[in-house]
Amino acid sequence: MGKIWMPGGGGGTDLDVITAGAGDVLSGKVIVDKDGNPLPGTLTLSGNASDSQVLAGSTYYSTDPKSKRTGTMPNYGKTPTQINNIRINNNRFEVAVAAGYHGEYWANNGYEFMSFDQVANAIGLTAAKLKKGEVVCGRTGTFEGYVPTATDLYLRGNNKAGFTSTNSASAVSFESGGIKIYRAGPELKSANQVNFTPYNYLNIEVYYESYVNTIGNSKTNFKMRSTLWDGTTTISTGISSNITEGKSVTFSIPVSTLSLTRIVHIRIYVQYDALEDNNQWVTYTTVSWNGYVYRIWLS
Amino acid sequence: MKLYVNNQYQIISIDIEPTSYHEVFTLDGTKEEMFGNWCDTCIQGYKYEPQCEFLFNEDGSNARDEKTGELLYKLDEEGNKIPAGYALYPFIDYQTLTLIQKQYEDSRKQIQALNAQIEYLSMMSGYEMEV
Repeated sequence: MGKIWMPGGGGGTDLDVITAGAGDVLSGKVIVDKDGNPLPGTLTLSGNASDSQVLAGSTYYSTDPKSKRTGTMPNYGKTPTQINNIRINNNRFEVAVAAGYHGEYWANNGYEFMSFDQVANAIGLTAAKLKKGEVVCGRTGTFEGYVPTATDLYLRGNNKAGFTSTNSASAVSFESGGIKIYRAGPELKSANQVNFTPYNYLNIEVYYESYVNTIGNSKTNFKMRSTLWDGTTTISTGISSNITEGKSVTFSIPVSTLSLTRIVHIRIYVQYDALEDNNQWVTYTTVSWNGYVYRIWLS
Repeated sequence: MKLYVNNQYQIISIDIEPTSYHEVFTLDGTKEEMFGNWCDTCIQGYKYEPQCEFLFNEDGSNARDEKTGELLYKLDEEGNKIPAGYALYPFIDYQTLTLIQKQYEDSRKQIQALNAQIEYLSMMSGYEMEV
C-alpha cells in the first residue's frame, strides 16, 4: 500500500480510495495511481456531430469536454410541415421537404403535406380539364365535352357527317373519343352531303402513332397524306409537314373552288421516302398506319 | 411524275419540261394515280402549293386579321410561318373543270366514233385510209 508523505502535515493519505484509471482521466492530465505513481490520462472525446446534426435546443459535447454545445437542427417531429417543392423528374414525382428532423408524429412516421394547389399545379390540373361540376383538389371542373361546331364534320366521337369506313371494322373503328386506325389507310365516306361552297379549307387532325410498312430502307420524311375525292375523281390532296410518332398533327386541304355539295370520301395515308436497293429514293404514298382521327372540319 | 409550276404554283406542265417554270416537284405516283382521268387542261387548273400552319379560333374557323381580314398563321420563335406540307388542289372552279373534262371526253368519243366510221367505210370500199 502506498503512502504519500505530506510535509509539515499529519499522517499519510490512503491512496486505496483511488478508482480512476488512465482511461478515466482526460488525455493530457496526470493523476497518481494507488501506488502514488504519476498516471497520465488517456480519455479523449471523439464525437463527430455538428450543431446542425443535433436537435435544436438539445446539448452535447463534441471533442472539447469543457464546451457544451447546443444543436440547431429544426425539429418537425411533432409538427406537420408543408413540402417545399414538387417536380416531375426522371419519370417520377419528386418532392422536397424542409431540412431537419421529421418523425414520430403519425404512426411513428414523419408527417408532411402538400396543399391542393401544389398538387393541382404539379399535375397540370385545371378547371378546363375537369368534367363540369367535378371537384378535384379544390378545383371545380368546367369541361363540358367536345361540343362540335357548325363546321365540324367529325369531332372526337361526334360524327356529324355520318362518316363510315369502307375498311374492315378491326381496321377502322369509331370509338367514343376518335376514329381508331389500326394498320390501315382509312377511307371515310360521309353519309350526309357536305356543302363546300362557303369554305376554304377541309382540316384534319390526326394522332399518328406509327406506320405499317416494311418496304424500303432508311425511311424518312414521314407525312400524313389525305385525298378528298367524290367517289370517282380526286378533287384535292393535302400533305402534312413531317410527322413524329406519338404526336398529333393538323393539316388542311384547300376547297375554296369547290362550289358543290357532295358526299365526300376522304382517304388518309402516311407517306415516306425510302431508299431502294438500287440506291434510288422512292416516295411511298399509300402507307397504312396506326393512330386516331380526332377531328375533321371545314373552315 | 414531275410537276412544273409557275410562280403562283399553278401546274403548267407534267413530266415535259416547259421553256420556263418557277419550280419543279417530283411526286410519287403516275399522272393517273394523282389526277385520275383528268385531261391536261383540267390538270392545269390545279396548284401544287406549299402550305403553312393556320391559326384557328376556338370554333374551328380560321383566325383572321381584324383589319385586313387576311388569314393568320402560326409563327415560330423567329416570327416565320411554320411549313405544313403541300396541297394539290383546283384553283379554278371545280364545276368548270368538270365541264371542261366532260367536253374533252365528249370530243374524244366523237373522234373515236368518226375513226370507227372511217375505218368501216374504208373497209367497205376496199381503200386503206390513214386514220
